[in-house]
Amino acid sequence: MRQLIRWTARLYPVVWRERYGEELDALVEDIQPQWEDLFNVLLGALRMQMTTWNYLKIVAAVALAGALVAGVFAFRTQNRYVSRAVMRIAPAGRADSDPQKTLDRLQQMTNQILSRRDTALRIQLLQTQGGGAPAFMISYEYPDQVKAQAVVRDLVASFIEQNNTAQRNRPASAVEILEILDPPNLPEQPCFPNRPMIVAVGLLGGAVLGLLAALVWRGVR
Amino acid sequence: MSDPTLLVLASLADGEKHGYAMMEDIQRFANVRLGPGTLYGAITRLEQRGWIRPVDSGDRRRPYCITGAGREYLQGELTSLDRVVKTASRRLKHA
Repeated sequence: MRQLIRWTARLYPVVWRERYGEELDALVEDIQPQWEDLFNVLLGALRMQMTTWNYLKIVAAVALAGALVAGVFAFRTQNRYVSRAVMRIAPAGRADSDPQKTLDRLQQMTNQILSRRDTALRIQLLQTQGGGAPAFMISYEYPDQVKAQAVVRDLVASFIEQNNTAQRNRPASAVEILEILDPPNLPEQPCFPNRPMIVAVGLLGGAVLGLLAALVWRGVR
Repeated sequence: MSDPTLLVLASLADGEKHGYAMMEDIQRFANVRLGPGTLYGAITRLEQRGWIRPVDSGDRRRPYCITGAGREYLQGELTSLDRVVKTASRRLKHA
């Protein structure tokens, strides 16, 4: 126990130990040490550390606390996955198509398929090289990667069905073909949260807060 | 009275003592056992305020003595405590 208290006493600030360390060790040799003495010395060391804190220690401690809070948040936040599929509307017999018209048609089909707006669903027109028919990407974000993929798969099937219905009465030269370039993928890595990034932001935010705290501390003193 | 700084000052009021002697003395007159961390926390604060000072000795068990300012502070605190004790006693009698 005595040795344990001596080790704990090393937690006191170096400057304090240089002045009082020998005396405290001598006192620990003289008493009949108990468990409460160990906690008493530990508390004393922590208090003394806090009273002798310099600005660097304040910044480091608050930055660490920020990283810790951010870490807890990051690891308690549910993973989210994005499944994607790439499609293309190609007019039969023509190499080019107007991207704006494609976008309008996509929007129209989306409105027909979905009864309400879902912010997790994104339909994005992609830049195509060489001026070919415009491609678009359907993506859906969800906590379950299998369900995310199933939603995109259903959407792709619905788009094709909608397109087939719309093309039924059109002349052969005006028919637009809907192609799947990339089928809906099963995402392996979550898109959110980016845990290292969140912890890094927490650390940085904590350091800034610590700097402010150090400035306030200087003003108070 | 459980304020460690007052207990240390009270202990040193009748002469110089080292840490262990203070602990024993305080245990005897106040029935309070100050832990090593609490005792040396109080000694640090008191020395910083100039209310006690170390006495030169070659021993690791360095004794401390109360200074004039420390004696003055202790006297002030005791007067204030005395007033509280007298008021509380008088009110208890009339309750």
